[in-house]
Amino acid sequence: MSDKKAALVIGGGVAGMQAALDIANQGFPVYLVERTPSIGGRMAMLDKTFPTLDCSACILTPKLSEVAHHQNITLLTYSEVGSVSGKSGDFKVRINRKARYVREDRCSGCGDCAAVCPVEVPNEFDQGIGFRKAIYVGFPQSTPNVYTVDKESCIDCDRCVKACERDAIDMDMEDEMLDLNVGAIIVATGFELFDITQYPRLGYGTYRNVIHAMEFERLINAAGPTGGHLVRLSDGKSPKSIGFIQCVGARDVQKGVPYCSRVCCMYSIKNAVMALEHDPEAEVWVYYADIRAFGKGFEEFYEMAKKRFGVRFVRGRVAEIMEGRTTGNLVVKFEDTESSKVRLVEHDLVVISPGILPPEGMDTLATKVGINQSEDGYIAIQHTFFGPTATRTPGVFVCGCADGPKDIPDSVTAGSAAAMKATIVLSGGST
Amino acid sequence: MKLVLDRLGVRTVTMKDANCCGAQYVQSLSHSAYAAMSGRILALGESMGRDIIALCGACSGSLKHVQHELDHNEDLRNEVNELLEEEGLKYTGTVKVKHLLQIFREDVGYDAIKAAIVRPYDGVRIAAHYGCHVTRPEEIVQVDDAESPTILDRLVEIAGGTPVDYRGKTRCCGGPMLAMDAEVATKIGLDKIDNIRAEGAQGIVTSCEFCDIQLTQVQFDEMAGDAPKIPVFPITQFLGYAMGINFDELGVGLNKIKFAEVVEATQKV
Repeated sequence: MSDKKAALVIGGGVAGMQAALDIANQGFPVYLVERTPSIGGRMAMLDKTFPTLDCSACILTPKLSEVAHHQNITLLTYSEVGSVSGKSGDFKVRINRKARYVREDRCSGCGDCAAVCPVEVPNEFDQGIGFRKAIYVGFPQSTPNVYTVDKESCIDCDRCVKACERDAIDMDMEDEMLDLNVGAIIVATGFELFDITQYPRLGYGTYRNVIHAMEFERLINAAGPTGGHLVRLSDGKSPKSIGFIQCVGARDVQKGVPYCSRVCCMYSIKNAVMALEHDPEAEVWVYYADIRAFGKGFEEFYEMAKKRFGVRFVRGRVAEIMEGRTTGNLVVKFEDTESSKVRLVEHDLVVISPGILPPEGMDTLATKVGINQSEDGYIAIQHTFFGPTATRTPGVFVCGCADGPKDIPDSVTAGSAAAMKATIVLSGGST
Repeated sequence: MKLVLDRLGVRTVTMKDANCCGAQYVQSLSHSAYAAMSGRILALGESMGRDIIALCGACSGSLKHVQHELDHNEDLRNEVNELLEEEGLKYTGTVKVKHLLQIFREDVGYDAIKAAIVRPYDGVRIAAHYGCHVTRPEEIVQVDDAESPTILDRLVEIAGGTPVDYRGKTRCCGGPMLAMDAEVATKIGLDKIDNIRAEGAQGIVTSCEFCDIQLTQVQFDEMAGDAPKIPVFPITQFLGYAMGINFDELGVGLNKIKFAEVVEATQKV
């Protein structure tokens, strides 16, 4: 590693990865901190991307390797920021490295340990639909390719320890503190989905066949819990009629989320198209308030979904979902605002498109790093037009969804922009 | 209500010379008149130095709503107080309005209610109807979760009944539509009855008098046909009987659909 000043990137999703790579490629050392066991973030969980229908993993995986193997990037996964002090150009950061009970320098990711582990628990990466072992990687392209022991589920049977030929498993491992000195910090902590159980009338959590978009992504993914077979969770049947419900936990003043989440229209159009790719005979409806197809190629994609794939778009917010007691089918009640009629439509699967929120722990992190948040909880930026990636604290920058909802291209753009701002600080220039 | 609350250690005093809260009918004609009507009740409560309990959704809703407005809109408050001055009344904002369900949950508590049950039901299947204005708007009335309320169901359970969930549980009873379009109102009410019947409920417990009346009377409408009627009764009657209060005292004889047989049939012998 060079003797130049280092940068800290908090969050290993696509925005943070891009920022880390752009800084590292200018010759500066970068510490990339990620709180889960692997980098990749939300993008790694997606099946396809809009508007090109690229396989998300296919375009992300090379980036994962690039980050993992970059000589200027130190990857600190399963780690969180403990404290931050100092000022622009000279921050002292303490990182808490959680014990993963597997030595990163020894584990080769062969999986012999998981094969003998007798404990199965729902896999967070698959939105709890599929299962993982107590010693696990969340997904096949997990980076670093190192297993992690989930001590809460582990029964200390030691089978994995015996199975590991490289003696990589160390059940006595303890959390470690790591002190870093960095010149600039980039916050790329991403988002979380709105908790749609806050809309009991839509039945999520009560009706088995009402799922949310991220669960849908995992269900259609070849590496997902069903091997890419789109099935209903109640009875394993292939759905013949699917309804997508828009603006749930977005543009709703009552629920404290007045803003548009920017990605739901497009990811749902993409998911609607994917549902038809899986079963061209299926009927697919999208219940929307407005379709916001503002990005490059988005409107064309929307037109294609309508005309070529035959997705039915109906304008109207859904009032209520009812479940058929014996069939598990769902009846969607809504006002078709184009015909001013209240209508009932039966589907066998309903996919809710949740809006997005600042991630859990954002308040704590913002306080630690000493940056302001705006009223909605996202990181406040310095200037709407001329400081979109700068926070109001010198030397600290922001990208991805940490300052507001963004799609992948915009997150990557912001990642690069934040990287540039950070390297100006690292080179001793003035931002 | 008085008898049940007495047993639970809550003393109630009937308000003398109280008026209608003005909900819906006056409300839709003149907002000031409506505010003055509910405002007068609030002021009366203050003059008595007591909090107000309301068991009808429309009444508790109006009183709370108007109180909220009077607390946040000085002009309206002055206007109402000017009208009340004739009677020597004044609204100052010290009175508290509570719906019966709030008293049960917050002031008495489920444990105390459980302790007062001496004649528990034997699993009788009861569907709860809360009433829109009892729980909405949630921020102002602060009674229960408007979208998935639980208090009535909890009370049914405590009294030994089986709470029954049904489609459209938090929907309107149709009552407020009566004056405008009786047919639509009846249809809405019967829709609710059908949904409840589909779950095999033996009775409907309510926490709003207005809803109680509506859900009862729609079952006598021509549109209801010959379908067997499901007894509708306020939560106080249901709890009261389980607390050992007899039918006469509970005024069960005044119910249009007799629930005595249903309830007695399920009693533990």
